[in-house]
Amino acid sequence: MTNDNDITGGDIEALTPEEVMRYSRHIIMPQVGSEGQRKLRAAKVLVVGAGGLGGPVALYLTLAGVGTIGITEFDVVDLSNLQRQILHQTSDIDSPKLQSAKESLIAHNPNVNVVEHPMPITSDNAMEIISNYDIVVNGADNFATRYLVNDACYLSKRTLVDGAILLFDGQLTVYKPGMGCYRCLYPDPPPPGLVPSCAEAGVLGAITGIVGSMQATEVFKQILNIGEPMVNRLLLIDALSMQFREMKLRRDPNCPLCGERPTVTELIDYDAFCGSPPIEVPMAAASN
Amino acid sequence: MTVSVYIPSPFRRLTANCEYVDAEGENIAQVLNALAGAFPGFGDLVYDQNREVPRHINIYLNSKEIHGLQGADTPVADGDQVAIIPALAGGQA
Repeated sequence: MTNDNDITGGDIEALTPEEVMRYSRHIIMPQVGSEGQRKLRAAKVLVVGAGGLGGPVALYLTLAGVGTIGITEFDVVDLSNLQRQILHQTSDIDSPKLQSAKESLIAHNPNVNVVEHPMPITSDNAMEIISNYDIVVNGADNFATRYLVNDACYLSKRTLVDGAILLFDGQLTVYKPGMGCYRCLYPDPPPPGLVPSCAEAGVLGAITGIVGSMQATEVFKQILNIGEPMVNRLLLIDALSMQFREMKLRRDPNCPLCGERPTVTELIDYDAFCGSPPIEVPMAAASN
Repeated sequence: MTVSVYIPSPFRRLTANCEYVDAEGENIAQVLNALAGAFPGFGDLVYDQNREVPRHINIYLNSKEIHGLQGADTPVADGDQVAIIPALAGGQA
């Protein structure tokens, strides 16, 4: 049975005996059941980045049997990644993250189709890539990509599950088109260099697992159409005090993207918008 | 009026690692000014060159962002909870 909120269009093919056993802890829950598990199998989710956040997101989507998982990633594995990035191992250093990510995911669940997008997501390719997916999950590490993915999701009418981390803090929200967006929350990017990156300020490895698991949970809720999504709400996670705070998030009627008189009607130059240098693709990744 | 201000970990180096600090003021602008006076460097973080809060930082009063209220002129009451939350971008690298 499908309804207006069924983003996958349904999947009428019965689960195999192997799938019934593998996903039995899902299927036994009335909120999932066989129908929900088939929805998960039919779903197509794009994960931006296979790093700190994208790793746990993609892993839990894989374990849950989300049928198609696309990943955009162009970087190579660095020793300093291994403190938190669960899809990569010591033997993967200097290899493309996408390669080790896919190997890890398929090893966990060979039923899943992992689609590789071995390039930075840009204004030139974002709309085409996103159009192949039902939901997008943001695990980017820079503001230019965050504004780009936000705008592309709104223009493509795709739900964006957004997460970010730094030090001991995490942020989580869900943007549904027409119900507020990243530009409503943060109309302007910070001046370059003002907000440090994880490389500059540090990040507790386990906070990536907390936020990434929450992002995956929001994806499941969207696919299964259950629960109360994190729409119009911003969750602030403080791992030091282990306090969770919820802020109200409203659609800004003056938002240049989703407001009443939009001025951003197509993708723009986000490096120029954020005053950031263009993303450099490592040689090892570029050669793959 | 005395309000309690939540300081997230990226800003906590300016408040001697305090998660919460108290501040006096009749409105949000006065609260921010009080914090800028009490903690060296805090003003440079929460104000731009025009002495306005930049739009990558949100100020919440009892969980509502002040631009949906009366901006920096939003009045505060004793016991109110203020939070100063910056945009974060970490996640991939």
